Amino acid sequence: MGYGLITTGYNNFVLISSEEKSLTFGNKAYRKAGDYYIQDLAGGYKVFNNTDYNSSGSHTTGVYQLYCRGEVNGCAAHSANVTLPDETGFWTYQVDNLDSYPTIFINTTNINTAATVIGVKRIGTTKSYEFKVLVSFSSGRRSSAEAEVNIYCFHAKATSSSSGFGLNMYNSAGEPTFNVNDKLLVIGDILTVTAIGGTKEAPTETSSFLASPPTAATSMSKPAFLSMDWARPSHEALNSYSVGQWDSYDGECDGSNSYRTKFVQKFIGSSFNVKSDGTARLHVSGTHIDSFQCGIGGGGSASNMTWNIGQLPMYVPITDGAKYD
Amino acid sequence: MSYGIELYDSSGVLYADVSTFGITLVDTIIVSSSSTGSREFSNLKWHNKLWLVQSQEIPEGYSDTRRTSGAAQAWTYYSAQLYSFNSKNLSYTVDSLNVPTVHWSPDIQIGNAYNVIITVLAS
Repeated sequence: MGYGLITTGYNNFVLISSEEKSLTFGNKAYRKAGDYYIQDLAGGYKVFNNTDYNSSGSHTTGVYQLYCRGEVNGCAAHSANVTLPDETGFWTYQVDNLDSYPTIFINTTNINTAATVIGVKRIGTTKSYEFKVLVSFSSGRRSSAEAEVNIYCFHAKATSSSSGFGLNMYNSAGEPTFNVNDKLLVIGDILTVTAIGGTKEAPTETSSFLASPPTAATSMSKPAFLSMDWARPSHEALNSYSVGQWDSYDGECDGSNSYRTKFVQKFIGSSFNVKSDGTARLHVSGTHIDSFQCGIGGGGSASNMTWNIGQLPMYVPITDGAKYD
Repeated sequence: MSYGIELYDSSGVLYADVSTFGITLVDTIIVSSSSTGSREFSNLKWHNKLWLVQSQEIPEGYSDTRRTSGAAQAWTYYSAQLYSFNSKNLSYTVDSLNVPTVHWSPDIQIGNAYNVIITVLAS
């Protein structure tokens, strides 16, 4: 630039600039009505009407269960179910009084609680934004997890008020780019992710924090990671069982057939926090039943997880949320 | 400190100096999930790094449905927002004057073709 002011900090990254609008703290998001728990919807839902075996009609299970039951001409019956753990919430949040789309950082105060934003919308032409957050928590802790999720929203302010002291900066269009009275987003550390994998029980990532960060994530009171919508891990479980088969040739129950329960579980989003050993923890957040079927299939069982991943390597800035509480 | 700027909050607490850094908001670009495009930022010669962040844009209204699939007639659970995943290939190049150009093209498209919000951040 040919005029104005730029100050740089760590690694020549900018601290403030009169060219572009600084991101400053706007508000913390608050949870609002609109909760959604896929596991709650599972209770009572029926499965199957396969012409290869007889359905006994309705069947009600307990909550969190999907049920698959086969019965073959009275020869035999077999049931199999899939239990959905009560560890996922699809919550709605809102943040108000922002002058731009929110740039969102998330901190969770419990290592077993994680959250990620999977979509944002502006509410009409207002300064409010609503977003959907996938939250995962230890089983049965849905009511206490809310207090463990901190969502910090930053924005670029459209106006700048003078306090009579300090420093205000404006760009060539006369728009404010920095005001000392606003809380600047300050980055302390960066997580670099180069690979992800593992199983649904133990997702893994290859990642590292900065070697010499301004403020190490491990030393932050509330390390808050920039929320990115970057992956969809998908878990598929296939279980087979054999059921006696009516043999029309001799009129006896002497055959068998294999039936299967196929269960595809798309996990939505992924997020991070910091483990006590100083490494990052990747969370696979969310449960979404993409497919659940009863039907004839091969023997055996299988369980695997695959990923739809955005671009790697991925660089995740981290700030200390405690600065903005 | 021995040089540079220190920023204090209204309580006199130091919250930023030359050992830290901030992030500036350059642009918010909303594009369709199938689009390809680019945008040059001629005023960013000073930049050291760009951060390209994306998220789906949630459309108005929300509902989930249950649907059947295949011969097995299984109930499954379908939530358009949960099911959908639209991401872009994002990258940026810089010319000899360090002017960056952000490029986007379709990446993963699953479910509904929601718009993608691309946030360009600079430091």
